[in-house]
Amino acid sequence: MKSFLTQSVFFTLLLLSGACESLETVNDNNPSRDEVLTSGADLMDVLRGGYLVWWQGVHGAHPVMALSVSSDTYGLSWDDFGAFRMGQEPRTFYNNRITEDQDYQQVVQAPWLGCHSAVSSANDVLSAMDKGVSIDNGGPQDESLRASAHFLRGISWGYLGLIFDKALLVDLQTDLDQPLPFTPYAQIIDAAISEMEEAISLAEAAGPEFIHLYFNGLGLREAEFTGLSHAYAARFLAQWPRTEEENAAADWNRVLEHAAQGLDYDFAPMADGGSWQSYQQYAFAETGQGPFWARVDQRLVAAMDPSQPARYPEVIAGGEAPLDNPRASSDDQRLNTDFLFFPDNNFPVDRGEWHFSHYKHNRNKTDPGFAGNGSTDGPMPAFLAADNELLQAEALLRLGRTGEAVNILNAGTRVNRGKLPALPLNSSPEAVQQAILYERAIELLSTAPMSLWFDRRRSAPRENYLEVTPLGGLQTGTPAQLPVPAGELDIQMEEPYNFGGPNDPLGIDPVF
Amino acid sequence: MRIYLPFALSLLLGLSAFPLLAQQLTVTGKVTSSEGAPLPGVHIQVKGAGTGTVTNERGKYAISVPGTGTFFFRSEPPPTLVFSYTGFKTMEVAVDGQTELDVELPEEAAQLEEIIVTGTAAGRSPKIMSYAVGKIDEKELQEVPGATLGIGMQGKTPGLRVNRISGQPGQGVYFQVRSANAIANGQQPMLIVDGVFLGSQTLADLNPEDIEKIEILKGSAGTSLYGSQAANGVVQIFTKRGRNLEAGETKVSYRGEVGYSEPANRYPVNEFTNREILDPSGPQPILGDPNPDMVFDTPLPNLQDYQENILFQNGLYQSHSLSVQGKTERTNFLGSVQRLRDEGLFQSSEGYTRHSFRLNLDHQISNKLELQASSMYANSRQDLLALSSNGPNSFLATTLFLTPMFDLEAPNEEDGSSYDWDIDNTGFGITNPLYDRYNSRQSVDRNRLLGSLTTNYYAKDWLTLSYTAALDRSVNEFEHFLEKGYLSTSLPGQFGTLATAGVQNSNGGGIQRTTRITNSFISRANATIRRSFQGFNTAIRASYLYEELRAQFNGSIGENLAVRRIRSLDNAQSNIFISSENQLITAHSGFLIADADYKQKYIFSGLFRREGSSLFGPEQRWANYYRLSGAYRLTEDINIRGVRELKLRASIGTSGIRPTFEQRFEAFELIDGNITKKTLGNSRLRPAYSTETEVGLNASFGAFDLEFNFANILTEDQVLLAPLTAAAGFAGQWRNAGAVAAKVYEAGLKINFARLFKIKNGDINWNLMTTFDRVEQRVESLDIPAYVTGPGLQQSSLFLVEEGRALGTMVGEVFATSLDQLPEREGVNPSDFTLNQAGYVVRKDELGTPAERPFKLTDDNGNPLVQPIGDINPDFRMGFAHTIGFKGIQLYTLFDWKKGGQIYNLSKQWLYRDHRHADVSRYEEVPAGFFGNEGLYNGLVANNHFVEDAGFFMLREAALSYTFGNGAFGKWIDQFRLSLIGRNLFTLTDYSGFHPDVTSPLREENRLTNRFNGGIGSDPRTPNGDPNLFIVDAFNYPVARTLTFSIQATF
Repeated sequence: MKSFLTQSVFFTLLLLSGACESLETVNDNNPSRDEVLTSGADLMDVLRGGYLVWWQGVHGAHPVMALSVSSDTYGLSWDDFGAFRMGQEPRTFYNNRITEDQDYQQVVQAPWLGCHSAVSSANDVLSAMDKGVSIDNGGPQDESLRASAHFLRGISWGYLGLIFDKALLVDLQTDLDQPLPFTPYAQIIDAAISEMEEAISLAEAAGPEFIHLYFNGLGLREAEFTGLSHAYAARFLAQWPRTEEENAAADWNRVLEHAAQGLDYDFAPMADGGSWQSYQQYAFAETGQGPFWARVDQRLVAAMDPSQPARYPEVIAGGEAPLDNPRASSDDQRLNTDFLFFPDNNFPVDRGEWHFSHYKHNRNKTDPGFAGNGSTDGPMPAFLAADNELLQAEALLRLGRTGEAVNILNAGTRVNRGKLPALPLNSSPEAVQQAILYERAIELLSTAPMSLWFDRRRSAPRENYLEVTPLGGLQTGTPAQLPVPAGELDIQMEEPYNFGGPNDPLGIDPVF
Repeated sequence: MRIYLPFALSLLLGLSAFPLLAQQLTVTGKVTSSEGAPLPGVHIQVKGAGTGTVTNERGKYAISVPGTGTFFFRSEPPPTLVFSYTGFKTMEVAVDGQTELDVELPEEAAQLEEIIVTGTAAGRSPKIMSYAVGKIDEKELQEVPGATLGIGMQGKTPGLRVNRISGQPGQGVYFQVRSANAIANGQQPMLIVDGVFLGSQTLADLNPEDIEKIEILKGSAGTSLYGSQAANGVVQIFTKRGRNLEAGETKVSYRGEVGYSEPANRYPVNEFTNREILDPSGPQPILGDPNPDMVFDTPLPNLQDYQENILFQNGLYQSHSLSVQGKTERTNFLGSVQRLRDEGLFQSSEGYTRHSFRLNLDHQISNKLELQASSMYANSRQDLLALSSNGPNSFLATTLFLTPMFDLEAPNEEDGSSYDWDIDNTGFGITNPLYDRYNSRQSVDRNRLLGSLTTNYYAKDWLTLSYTAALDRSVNEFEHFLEKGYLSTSLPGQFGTLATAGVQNSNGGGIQRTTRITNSFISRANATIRRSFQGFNTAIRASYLYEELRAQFNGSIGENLAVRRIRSLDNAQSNIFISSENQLITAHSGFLIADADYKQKYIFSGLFRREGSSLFGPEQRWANYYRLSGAYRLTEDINIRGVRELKLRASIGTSGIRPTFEQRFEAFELIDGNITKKTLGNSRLRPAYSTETEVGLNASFGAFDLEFNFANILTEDQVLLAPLTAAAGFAGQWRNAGAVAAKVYEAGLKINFARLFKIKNGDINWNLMTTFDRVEQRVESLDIPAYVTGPGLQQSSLFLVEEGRALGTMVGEVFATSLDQLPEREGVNPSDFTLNQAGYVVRKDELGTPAERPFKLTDDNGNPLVQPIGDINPDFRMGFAHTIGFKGIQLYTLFDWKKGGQIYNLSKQWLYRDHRHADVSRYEEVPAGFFGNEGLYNGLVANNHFVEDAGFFMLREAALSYTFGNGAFGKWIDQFRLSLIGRNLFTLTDYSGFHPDVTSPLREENRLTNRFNGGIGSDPRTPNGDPNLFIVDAFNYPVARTLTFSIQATF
């Protein structure tokens, strides 16, 4: 009996050992491709993710922080985000190597991966729709989705064309198993414009039932969407040139055509403290973050107050005379409303006194509804109506219609917000050009990412770092475009290359 | 007729195999040592008959012998049983009709050796092991029982390296057994405690005083039994269970230890300034502009010693443990309880407190059935004063960063509250560390439950069936609380902008809570057969094993607190985020293992294992592992003068390293409801596959016992993140894409000096155990582009993974230290350069001027050269455990020697940023700029200046004890022992930081899926960091020197 008992106990335990889970476990945390592409609603979620990675690739900490410093928009001498190294004077090249620190590599990787990943998500959506996945069987919801996918491809290619010398153009026909050729930036921009135009025509076809909810829930109706699409098309067409020569060759007729139909509102998704943030607005604006963050570059202070030097004197390191009066004065009222004066400077001297200035941008605090802190709440302006107006004015100017350009300027923020005197109708084209550049620098500050980097490279010749002017070109040797990340070149079996530095004064010729 | 011939032959053969079948007598009994300890695995043979058996785990046996009398008309002498067991004298006992026969085997003069269980079929004496097994026994651990288990294992067995992140009380350690075999997935071996597979890889919860012995299987040649988790070795820990007591005996022990820990040294900080002193008076002196020569030669006003006054303390260390062991005829048990408190080095820290309870119970239900139960519960609380994530915002870092001239206890101007947060007026914006200390708290609470139940059923005298179920449940609760009104320029941990009250619309403050629960369950059934015949002894085990690991993570964070003090998530008003993750990992495996020997002279072991895991891709679901191993005890055949024992061994075996859950599955990342592409899934992912060939020898001669092993290891199919073209949309895909090769030389030498010097006095106990290992490890092949990686701390990705390179190679920029390094190119004329006071190449015309900078090596285009600048791999490591005793007094010391191997001193580099390191004022002629951003600090980019020799020679453990003999304190106290114990008493090293025996942290407390830039383990190619490979000092909690006094009494 006892033996029977012990045997029973033992074999019961043995049987218990069979109560096991199988090997076919699943991931309950992250969906797979098969799971996210099965229904129309799924496609909207995937597209939402695509918009987010585009936003993060273009409005995150990289490359905006580094390029804003290297375009003398802001001064920031901390090592974070590659800002210190890209703000060296005289300028050094962007060192495109996989052995560099992650933070520095992110300058090229973040926009590269963000924009390409966004295109990939858009392609997934378009491909699934071609295979029959649908929200309303070809109705206006499907049209909206398609338009939104094309729009995402457009803004992704657009920024790739603005930032990089070449990029990968992947559409539904591309075979990813074959080696991919790089496409030069001019063709990338062309592709971006075609996408924007495709998006516009699809949205128009969808009509009043069109809806776009992909910018963190910001609802765009058809007119708002097409206005935004035209505006982005105008931005890409106007800001792609790397030099004055290319700028002269830009298609200003098409810029005008698109800007004329561009947005009449300030496009600004809302920050949520999580995924949707704008690091440039967080780090550049005055958010009460103590003395740590960026200052407005001295060149912009000098733009508002010509009595100020455009380069902050090297008092300690260079024995230069200190500023007579650190507090600037200007006819432009925005110096008082949008900027905050600090009597002291906040960066270590040995990191370069050229980073010094006595001003921070605090329009987010003084202009209700304009912006939040870029991080937790409030709008994150990414495309102002003023930006579109200025593109229109510039196109008119380039096309010789100076008077019309002046009219737009006088009706705009120069007078409304800056309280500057109206430009005379018979102003010289050069004066109008300077007024446009000034508005772009001061009014658009901390809105469109890297905008002054794009504007400085195309509007004026490069300037020696000791002789910079307020609205002049990039400093000699500043990278005027970014190279394909070394990691991607590695995959494509190509040698890494750099832009900028003493061997590439224009910042556009590859240095190996 | 012909058809009956085979039958007849079989019958004859059967009769010859069982010639005494007709008159069988079954003899049962028990074999013990002279101290009464049961001896498992004793070989018992019927003399002259060729049949036999072995004793079971409880020393019991049953054997059939011929009855006395006549057989086939011949008169037979009484049968004789031969009992043989390594380390004991062989005994012959005649069976004269008894059916019960208990035998006490006298020990040979040599030490009593235990059997090795881990990785064998049925337990084996070390003498007949055919592959290397490390063993640390109770005595070696109990001389200086550490606060946490692991660290006390360094230096005690060859081939086991123990790395610790820091000296933080309660911090776990990271083992490396032999070489580093994984490029991306860490080196932690499989950890087993009393048969429980640990799911949470920390041993910090265990009470070191419960440990009876530790067995370490070192490489695939030994670990194949454990399959795809075992390529990094297997460490199995056994706890005490009262088994070695006499029946009827109960032993109660108390051990109390009280003392303190103190920092071993002070960090060298700069006490000078290069600035004009405008106002020298405290609490906030004012400095003006730098002097024109930029040299730090003016003593700071109001100089403070922050390390002495606000940072360090002599922290109390105390532990109390009580254990009861007992044994009856059928039952033995251990019950123990421990309370340990280690306040640590930092002032106002709660340190680490642990309570642990253990109950082990074995019971024999019947002659055939027994139960073994083990259980442990531990609860601990750790005050994470210095973050486990360290970095430049920790309490230690800000204390060192701050210019030491402020009275840190001055109140805030803003509201009169304690500790002026922005007292730093130098422009560096360092938050007052005291303010941070009292307004920011982090803690970890751990609850750990281990339990296992084993049933052994002795179905036949040659067959044992057993079943084990075991569970490890670990609950880890992390809390980070920032007080409402928190003011800072930098945001701690994962908090966002509203955690500081300086931001518009925020009260500041925040709370984060995360809970990680891991449940590791196994269910295993074994059938073990033991037979002995014709001089052959065999043990065969067939097993089936099911493993199930469930991990759960929940995390919440919120900011902008409504009220002060309240540590509730409901206190947060803004920026509230939640996150969770679940993982289920399963594995089924079956294996067959056979151990055999012929007269304990020729030894063989072989096994085969087939394993399927949910962590393998669906197309690679099953993996096979094997081992073949043999040994020859030469001295059994050949008499070599002076050599008692010489055993030659050779083994080959395979085992694996599993991919992680994230590597196996993740495709789209889901955070805050947003779906974004991350890594591409891989249905063909398989475990890394390690093959090890090991040869070795064991020799005993004179007073020496020597073990030597050489292992050649190749670990292929490394699981690595292959970068994908951005066009794919995914950043990468985990693939099997590389191999690591290693050569390991290890040796252990035990010297009995009393024997060596022929000291006859039995009261003298004098011996030395020396361990040695040398490891050469390199990336054998790499199917993805070479890359640099690191622990994920800011600017710390400096470890190069490249084909042909040593694993653990550091790369960085190079500042020339010799004129020979100057490049031959236009514009660089060696005669323009010279060495400065600090030993770096500088331009002669800049020497002594504010413009003096070190010369950085560049290529022809001006690109800084990035070259190998260091290597973590030491030339060798050695341990010397020395014991000398006379009668009751004994001195024990453990010296630990690490020769070579380098560490990257990121703390020092950070301290160069603001010129706060003492180096900056060390040279009266070298200006500040030489150390600054364009100088050695180099924008925090890795360079050769911060690579330092991490070699050391340290007295890791020392104990001076006196044991009072029986009866010294009356009849109730059997033994009474007093000890003075020191840990880390002194260290000889060239390292300039606190201590070289530290490494980079492992990512533990963060979200499992979302890695933030600059956070621990944010380097996606090495997802959790790797403390064994990334030897980086980043403001690690200093290693403490501890002095304690202990009392141990046994009743």
